[in-house]
Amino acid sequence: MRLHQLWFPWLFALLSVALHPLPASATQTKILYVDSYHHDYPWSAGIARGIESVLQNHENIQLKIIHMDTKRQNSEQFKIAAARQAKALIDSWQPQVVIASDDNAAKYLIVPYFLGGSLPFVFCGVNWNADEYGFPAPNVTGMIEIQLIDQILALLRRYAAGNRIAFIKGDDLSARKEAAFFEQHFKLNLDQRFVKDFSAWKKQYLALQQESDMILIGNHISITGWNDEEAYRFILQETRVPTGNWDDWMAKFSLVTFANNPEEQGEWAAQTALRILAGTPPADIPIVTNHKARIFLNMELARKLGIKFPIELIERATFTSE
Amino acid sequence: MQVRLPLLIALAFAITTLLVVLIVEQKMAAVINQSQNLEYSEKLQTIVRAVRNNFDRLQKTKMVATYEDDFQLLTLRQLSETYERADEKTAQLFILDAQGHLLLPAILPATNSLFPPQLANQLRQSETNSLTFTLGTQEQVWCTYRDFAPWGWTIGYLVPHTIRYHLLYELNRTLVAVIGGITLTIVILLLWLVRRQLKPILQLTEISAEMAEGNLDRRIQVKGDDEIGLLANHFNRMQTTMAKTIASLRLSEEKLRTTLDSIGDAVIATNEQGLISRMNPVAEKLTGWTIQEARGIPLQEVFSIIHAKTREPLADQFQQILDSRQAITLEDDTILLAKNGTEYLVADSAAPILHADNRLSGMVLVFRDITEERALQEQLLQSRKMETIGQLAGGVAHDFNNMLGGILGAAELIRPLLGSDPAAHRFLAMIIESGERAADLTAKLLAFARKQPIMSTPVDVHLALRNALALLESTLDRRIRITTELAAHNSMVVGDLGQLQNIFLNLAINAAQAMPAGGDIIISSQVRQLDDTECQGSVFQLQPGRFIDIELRDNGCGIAQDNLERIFEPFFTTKQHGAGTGLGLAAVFGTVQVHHGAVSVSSEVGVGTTFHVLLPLSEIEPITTRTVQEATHGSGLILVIDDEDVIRATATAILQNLGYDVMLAENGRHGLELFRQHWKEIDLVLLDMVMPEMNGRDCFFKMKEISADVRVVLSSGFAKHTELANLRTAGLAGFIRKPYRSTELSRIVSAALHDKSQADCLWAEST
Repeated sequence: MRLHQLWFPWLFALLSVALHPLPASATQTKILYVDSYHHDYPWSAGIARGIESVLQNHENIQLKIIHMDTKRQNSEQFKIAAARQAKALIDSWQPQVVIASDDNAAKYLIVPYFLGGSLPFVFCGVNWNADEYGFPAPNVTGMIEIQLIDQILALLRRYAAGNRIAFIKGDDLSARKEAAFFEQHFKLNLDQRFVKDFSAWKKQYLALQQESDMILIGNHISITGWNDEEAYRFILQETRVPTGNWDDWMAKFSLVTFANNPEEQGEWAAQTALRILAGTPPADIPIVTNHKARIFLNMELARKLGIKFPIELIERATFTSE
Repeated sequence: MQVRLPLLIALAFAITTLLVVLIVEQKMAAVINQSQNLEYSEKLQTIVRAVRNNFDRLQKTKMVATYEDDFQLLTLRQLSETYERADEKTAQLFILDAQGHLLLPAILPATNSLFPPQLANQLRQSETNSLTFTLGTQEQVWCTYRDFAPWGWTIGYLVPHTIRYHLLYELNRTLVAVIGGITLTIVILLLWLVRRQLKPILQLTEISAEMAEGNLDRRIQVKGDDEIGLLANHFNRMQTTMAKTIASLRLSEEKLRTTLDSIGDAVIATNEQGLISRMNPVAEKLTGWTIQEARGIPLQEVFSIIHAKTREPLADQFQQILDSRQAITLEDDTILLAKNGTEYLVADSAAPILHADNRLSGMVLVFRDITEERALQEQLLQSRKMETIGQLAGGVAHDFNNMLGGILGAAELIRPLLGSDPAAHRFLAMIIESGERAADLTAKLLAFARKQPIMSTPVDVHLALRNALALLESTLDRRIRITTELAAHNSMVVGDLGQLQNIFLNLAINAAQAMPAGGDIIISSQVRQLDDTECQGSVFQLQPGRFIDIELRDNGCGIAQDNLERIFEPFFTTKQHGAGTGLGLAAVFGTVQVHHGAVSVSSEVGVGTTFHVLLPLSEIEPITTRTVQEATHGSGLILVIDDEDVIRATATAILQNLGYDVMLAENGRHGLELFRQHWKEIDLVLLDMVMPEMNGRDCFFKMKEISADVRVVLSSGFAKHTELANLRTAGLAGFIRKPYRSTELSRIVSAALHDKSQADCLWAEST
């Protein structure tokens, strides 16, 4: 080996160290995440994970999170007070971009204090439609949360005998608005069944085995007398058509569940904040909807219905029995 | 030294590196084996766990039969995506099903897999979870595996040794590179250090090499006072001493060379083998060899000598020296043959050069050119021989002249007594004629012997030459043509006109006799200036000055070389008996000598002969002479002193016939006695020059003591010109050459007695 082959790498390394530019003493960019709910709320935690996963590679960005805790304390006064606290933090901490998740942050913080202002806002978790908050605005863009009904129906149609789609849920305003939104948004003609109690639900569910080819099952929040174990046994015993659901905690009561992914909301919000920081005005970034799902499969129900899912779906999915 | 040491160190490092590498390899292999076993065990556990997860999920589907294939494929795909890489340099995951079919990698083993077809059987027979096998490419592969019983799978890794031990290999390479780098660095440092430390020694080596080539000017740059510094100092001092010594030797050598070169003799020195080592310029000139050409050549090749007469090569002198260890000299008549063919007569001596222990280290040869010396010696010998002959001839001629004086005197005295008998007068005439011829011959002998009395008067040589030629006109053969080219603007010499005439007569006659069928005699003259060198180179006693050079050249038969050397000897003749006396050229030789001149001859047989006569020029004008034809009678008492009875009788008869009274004395002493007794009556003394007891000169001065006015006429067959001049100055009244005749004697006696001026004139004629 020639001598210069030995010392040349050393010399090169020395020069590299000597000539390497020193890190710029740039001021750190500040992003504030305003969560409508509390720290332990799974949805909020998921959004936070999504935000952190994107920003963790940007050392010059400082992330601060403030929880409004309006899920547990849902009085109107508390929401307003929580919004003021958030504003005070914004004024004092002076973030360059603010991410705000779910409707309360939009309603009580953005709209009264910042809509049309200079501070950019990226919202997420706002259900179905943001028009009521005046979004989009010149300083506001975001991701609307919608249920992935199209994906659920696409799967169910593979195992359904016909095209009749039923929607069953507790009878409340939210459920009816949800059904209307599904029909409007996904261009569906739903056989809507709203029930008050568990027995009505079973009755309607049983009827739908004959009157529909696939069933969208809403959550049981508004159904009185709901019994999980009984409901589960009932479903295993009586289900004849493929069923779908969008709430992960309701997964074991349907054949398939395509639950919304809070990480998707957080990741998109963080990436959009970076784009704004890079110079893209919020007005130039259109409002989007979510499309990633957390999939749950009820393999017992599938075995009963004689359905064999593609292995690619199984690979992505979580068994409800797991 | 400066290369060997670092090389040894490099070699030591290389061996150390090899040993380190071997030891490290051994130890590291054990560590790596352990580490690799653990690593791949964990990897396989992870994989088996993943497989088991899928297997468990399959169970959870409650539709195992339905989903088993899908789950297996899913598992293989997941494993493939996770663990299979395109890079062939990594370990390769493989999965065999229960039948030994290769499930992973999902490619043909023969194309891109390390997995050999027979490995499945080996694994099945193996009791451990690992084995090592060799591929067809001679590459060794380590195989470790686990069984997944639920699906009957064998899951394992194929790890080529190049991967398994790549850390070891890298370490080895690093070790070699690092130790090699260190070795190289150390070698370079050592080279630098050694060079730095050895620099003075290297300088010593370099400078000593230059010293060996003769350069002593460079000095070592001494730094420090360590051992090397001291060594360098001593070396420099040694060099200085050597330089001084060599300079001294060179000076000595230069002196020796200068001395040798200054020696007039040639010097050649040889070494102990007889090869030439030194020559001086004289030796170079004589041998024709330069020292550059001759150095290292055997002596006999350069110093080639032969015997002058036999022309045979002479013995090798070096061999003689070698044999005898003593000095030797050359034989006489040795000729040196020079390189260009020139021959030199040389004399030499050769001596051995001996060490203190008598060991021969060479010889030295000293020689010189004696060609001219020998010629001078021969000329001297010839000159002495001629002198000896001259003395002999002079003695004989003197006595013979006295006898002739008696014969001729008696013949003249007897004439009145013969009466009228014509026969008697004819015989008397024959006697007188023979006597006169004998007198002429005697005169020539005396001339050769330079004892002929000469007159010293200014003489025109051209006149003497013309007189001689006038005499020859009537006697020489008509076929002989004489041409004169007398170009000398001055032709006056001091001498005897008659004798100078005789020179030219003799030379012309000699030339005529060399041309019996006729020919040309060309006589020319010119004036030459001779310097001291030219005069000293002559066998004659010449004085530097202006000379008239008379050349007489004929185109006759020429003279052989052997005869040429003896041509001036008296009685030497090549002519037939009776044709010549052999005294003509001898007389020329003597006459020229008396006139302080020189004669030389050169001749070539068949071409002709040339004589050159050189005579010193004089600026004095000649005196006009006159001739007295008749005897003069007188009276008075004349004392005749002569040791020869015949002369006394002849003189008495002649003088008494002339009217004088005569008183006789037989020698000088008796004559002086008579004069002392009768000086008042004696009018004149006729005095012989050469006599026993008291010669004429002494007698003259004695008589002058008795009577300062005494009148003396000296008579002699030969007398030196200078002596006569001295006597005349002292008061000598006259001189008469023997044998004298009555007429001549009467004139000189009369003049001496009565006419002073005439006596002076006659004196001039006589001398």
